[in-house]
Amino acid sequence: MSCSRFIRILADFQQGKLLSEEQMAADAHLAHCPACRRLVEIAQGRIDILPESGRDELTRSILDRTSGPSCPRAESSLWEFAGGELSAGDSQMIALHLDHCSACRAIAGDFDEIQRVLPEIAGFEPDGLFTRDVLCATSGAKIPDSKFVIPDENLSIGSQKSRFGNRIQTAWHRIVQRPCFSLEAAYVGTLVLLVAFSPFLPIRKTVFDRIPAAASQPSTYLLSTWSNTQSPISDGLCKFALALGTRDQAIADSLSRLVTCYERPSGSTLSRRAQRISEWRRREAGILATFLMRLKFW
Amino acid sequence: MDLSTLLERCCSGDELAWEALVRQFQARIYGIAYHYVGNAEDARDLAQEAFIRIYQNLATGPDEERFLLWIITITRNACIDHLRRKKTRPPAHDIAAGDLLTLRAPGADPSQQYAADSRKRLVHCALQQMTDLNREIIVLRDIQGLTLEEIASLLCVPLGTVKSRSNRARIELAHKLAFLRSELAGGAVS
Repeated sequence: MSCSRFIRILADFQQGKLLSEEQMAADAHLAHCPACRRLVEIAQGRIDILPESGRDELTRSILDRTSGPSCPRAESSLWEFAGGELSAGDSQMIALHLDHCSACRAIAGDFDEIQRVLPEIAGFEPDGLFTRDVLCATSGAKIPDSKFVIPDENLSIGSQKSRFGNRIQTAWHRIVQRPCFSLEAAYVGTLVLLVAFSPFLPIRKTVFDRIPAAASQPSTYLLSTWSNTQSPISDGLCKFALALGTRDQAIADSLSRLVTCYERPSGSTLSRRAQRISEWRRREAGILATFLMRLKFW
Repeated sequence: MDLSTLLERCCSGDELAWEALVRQFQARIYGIAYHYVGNAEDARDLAQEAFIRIYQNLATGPDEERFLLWIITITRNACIDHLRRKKTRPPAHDIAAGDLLTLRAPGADPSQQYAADSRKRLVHCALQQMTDLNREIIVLRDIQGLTLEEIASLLCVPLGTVKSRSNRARIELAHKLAFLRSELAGGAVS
């Protein structure tokens, strides 16, 4: 019998299904063929030719091409495995998996520790005053402040003031921390803005109607309006520009001098002074016009 | 004294029975609150608030079999209200680090209680690093020992969801624990 013929009948040979003539021929072949003898031993599981390092890789590649990795399935039972709640068969399979999977073995080890620790952190005893505070709160009695216990008779005036301040601060925080505070603040702010800048109000309308004209031709407008000292809009514009001009010290100084000139009385006895004032007016009007031109381009 | 008698006496207005009930469950309630908010002072206030709610609803509360689930539900609701408020409206001003020491509740912080036990400290840290959803499952299922059905009714989610979520939460806890352990080992080496 040749080796190829023996390999073909190997399965029947192992199961003892060969006819007597074939069995005798196979035995005779095995007696003088060490390669086929080794093949029989491998088939019977007496010799393992797969190296230790390659077994896990082979298993993994087979699983990848068939059912997929078994780790998720193992992870779903690791907790019960660590707690000893699995059946014997399941435990055996999990144990076999853990022998070859370091990641699941680490999780199983952690589960074991977690299961021992978690029940121990189920409850913490609060501080000694907790029960007293709960009993006071549920009985309606006033709870003494357990955090800052200061006898009233020892309070100085300064500390009483600070307590008053703290009380105001606490009240303010309580108001601010209400959920509707933002809405209320926005409502009040909108009302204030409407009142302050509404173009529908009569006073604001007169002032704001004139400002564009002043800004478009400032020098002409200012010279024409400043000649009339009774005009309220010129004073208003002047103070407005003065308030804005505080950024630039030179403009602020010039404008303040201009306002001072307006407030000084003028008459026939002060003709020379009146002339100087008139010159000043023109010069300062130019400065103010420049300033308003800047404002226009902001 | 068994729980049913205690509850009966509490309902009839016996202050001593109420005190006994508070003392019996305060560690548990405080522990649940602490696991939810992760802060000793807030946990103390929330535990107190939970007890006040329990006291106010004691007459209409459940029997002794469902009492634990009931008080856990109340505590959880108080904690979630607190966390929601905190999320909506964070503190108006920062508290100086020096003031925190004086403002702290006068009891020992639970995290300090773990200082002596490295295992507990490690698990506690891992719990604090988990997502809120998974930590809640761990607290209810594995720390407080509620059944899956009880958790499902408490969280108003299907039983299957609780099962899968519970498994994921445990895996996450194990991973966090392994990560912390490796960090500790790395710190010790360096």
